[in-house]
Amino acid sequence: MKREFNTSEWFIWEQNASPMLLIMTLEPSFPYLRKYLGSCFFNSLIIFEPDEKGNYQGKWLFRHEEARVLGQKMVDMLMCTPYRNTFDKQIELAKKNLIRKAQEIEFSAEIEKVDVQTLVNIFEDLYKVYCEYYKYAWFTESLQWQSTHILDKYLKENFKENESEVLKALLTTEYQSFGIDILEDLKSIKEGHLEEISSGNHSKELLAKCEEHSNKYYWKNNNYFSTKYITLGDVLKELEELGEIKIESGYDLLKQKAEIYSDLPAYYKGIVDLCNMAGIMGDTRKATIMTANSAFDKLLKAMAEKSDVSLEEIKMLIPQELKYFIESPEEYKERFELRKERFMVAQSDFPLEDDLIEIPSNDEELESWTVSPMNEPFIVEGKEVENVISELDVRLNLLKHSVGERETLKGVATFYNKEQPTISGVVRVIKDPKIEKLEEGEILVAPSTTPDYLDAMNKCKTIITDWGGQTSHAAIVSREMRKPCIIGTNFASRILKNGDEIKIDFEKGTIEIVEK
Amino acid sequence: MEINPTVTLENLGGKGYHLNLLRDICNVPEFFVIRFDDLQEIDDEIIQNQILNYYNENEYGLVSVRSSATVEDGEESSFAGMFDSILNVRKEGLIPAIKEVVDSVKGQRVVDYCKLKEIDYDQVAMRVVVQKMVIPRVAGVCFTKTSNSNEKMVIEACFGLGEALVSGKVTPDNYMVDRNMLSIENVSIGFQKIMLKQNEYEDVPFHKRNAKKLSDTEIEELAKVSLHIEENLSYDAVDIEWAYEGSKLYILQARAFTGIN
Repeated sequence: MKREFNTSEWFIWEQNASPMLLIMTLEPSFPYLRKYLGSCFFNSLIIFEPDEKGNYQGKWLFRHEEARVLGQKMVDMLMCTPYRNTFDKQIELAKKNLIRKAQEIEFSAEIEKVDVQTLVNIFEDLYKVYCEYYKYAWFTESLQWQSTHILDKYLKENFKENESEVLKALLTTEYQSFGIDILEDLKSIKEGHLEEISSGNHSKELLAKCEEHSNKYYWKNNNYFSTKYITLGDVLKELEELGEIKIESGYDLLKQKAEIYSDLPAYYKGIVDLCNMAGIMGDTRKATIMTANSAFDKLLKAMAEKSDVSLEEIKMLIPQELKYFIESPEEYKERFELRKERFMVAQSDFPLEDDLIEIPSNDEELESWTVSPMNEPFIVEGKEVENVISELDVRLNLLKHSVGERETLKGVATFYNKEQPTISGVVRVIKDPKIEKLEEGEILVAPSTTPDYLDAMNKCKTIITDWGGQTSHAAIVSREMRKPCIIGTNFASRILKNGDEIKIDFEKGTIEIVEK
Repeated sequence: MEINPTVTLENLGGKGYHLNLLRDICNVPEFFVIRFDDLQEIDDEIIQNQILNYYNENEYGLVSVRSSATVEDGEESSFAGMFDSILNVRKEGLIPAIKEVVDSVKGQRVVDYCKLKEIDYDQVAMRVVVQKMVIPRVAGVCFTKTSNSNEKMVIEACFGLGEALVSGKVTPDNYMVDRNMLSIENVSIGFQKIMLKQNEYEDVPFHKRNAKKLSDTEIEELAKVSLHIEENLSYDAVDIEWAYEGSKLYILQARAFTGIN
């Protein structure tokens, strides 16, 4: 059964992908990013299943709103020049490290000769370097969305006539994508050897140029599904098929950009810089990761041969599983079959399963207790995926249905007093804390909190938010203020109305409307 | 005191007698039975050495020590959990463990249970089973009938030792199997975060927490063996404790299933 996800809330990235190559990017978006930035993605769900043609397809879901909240933190950090400068240096260094390490493996003749345990060790070393890079590269999407959102809002108010044109100009940069580099390289080869290419009578010089191209861009047809080493023959074929290329000069746009930019207020100049930065980061990330994936694939091929499984099967594993797999490959025989049907990997900044929330039984421990974030992915296989999705739906609103239909509100308690496991009170929904105010002792309900909410948070009896994880503002402040708090309810601010009387059960994380 | 006395229910006690029967029909971890003529004998050093010598000569290693009362495991009353079972015993702990098991017969709860079931307490004699520990990958229970159906059997499975399941600390996988067709009718997977390894709970590695514990082939093998046991013991239904060590199936215990109408 195909399930439709609620596309208005969830961003869905959908492509042919193998679990191994795609899930590699998950780890850096949680523990690595959390450690670096102090905040990370809140929820990510990746579901793999065959598409109509039988090709394995990955669907990556995360909430727009959550990515934007994260993006705001990135904007705040990078608008501060010293941090921005350090960040630029760090990502550049991490990228160089990764490429160097990947190419060492790519061009090593030793890989086929070592045993499977050594292969896993080499893989894990490379993966660490990969995560060190990707935690910075994860700035791309969130930063791009949030900075473009801020800029767009400003332009709509100030450039009513030609807003979209202005935005296009401001988003143009002098940076040239690696895709254009590749085309230009091919174009220059073709122009010098037109006759040979059409006649098929290849000179040594042409072949040398093609070989140079394939050595430089051997990774260019890679993706998150598979990798293919570009050969000399591939390059010749591409040259034959290469049509007329018109590379648009961005000169006019850049000129226009310079004019608009110089008149922008300083803050928005900074925002334009961040938009540009995110665009460039996305492009270099692609080239970097495709290079790394070639090396990973080489290691995986060698492992598959030595463990007597197919490359397709070994890529059904996620990176952290490799060490378990080589210990007992037989345990995975049936699991591969289940995964071929359907396979889900999820990670969250708070536990997805109630079992993972262990509330201490003694008061001393409870004093310092927090819900620990998930540090490992959550894996579900085969038919069970359907059941788990239904369970998660209550918490995450994955599937399409209107807010009105929903009866249960459920979240995660980040702090509460064990002697008072339930609290009743009157709701106050606050979406703009500068305007809306709260009476002492009411229950604060907000989409998510910011420092502007401090006064309301201080006066209220309990805090309830729609979004957020363990590192969210609400979670941290509630612990400091010793205020009971429930995060991640998804709907509270839309379902609950001012004056509603509710009862909160902190142990279960549920909110019940007693009287509307 | 006698080690491995002549095979009678009286000599081996309920559990020992059953294990002895089971040994002929399925794969049971190696064990020996001690018959005490007097419960004080365990304090005698000569007798202690006799037990330790037998243990050493047969290279028992890690063992479990369980009670085997002469009235336990009957078809009418199970005495479930009445007597102590001690797991993961090494050589140095063997004698104290036997002592502890022997002492549990004197407990008030046994006296009360006997009264309830109208069993003559003085008739309850104690034998002790010392059995090689299995270090299970997956373990659990199997009931060859359910309280609702005579056509279905139920298997419950968890990672690590099956004791975690009995104590209710983990939610097991639950497989429903048709007795006649041996087809798997229903699979429900229990999310398992911790497992009992030796004496301590350990985290289940993240990649296994939602995984199905037994493969279809293993479920089928276990169902077959369980029905074979039921047939050979000529009970209406049996309640079996089992464990997979690697890919090898061990039967740890089998008794009449007392829960059916």
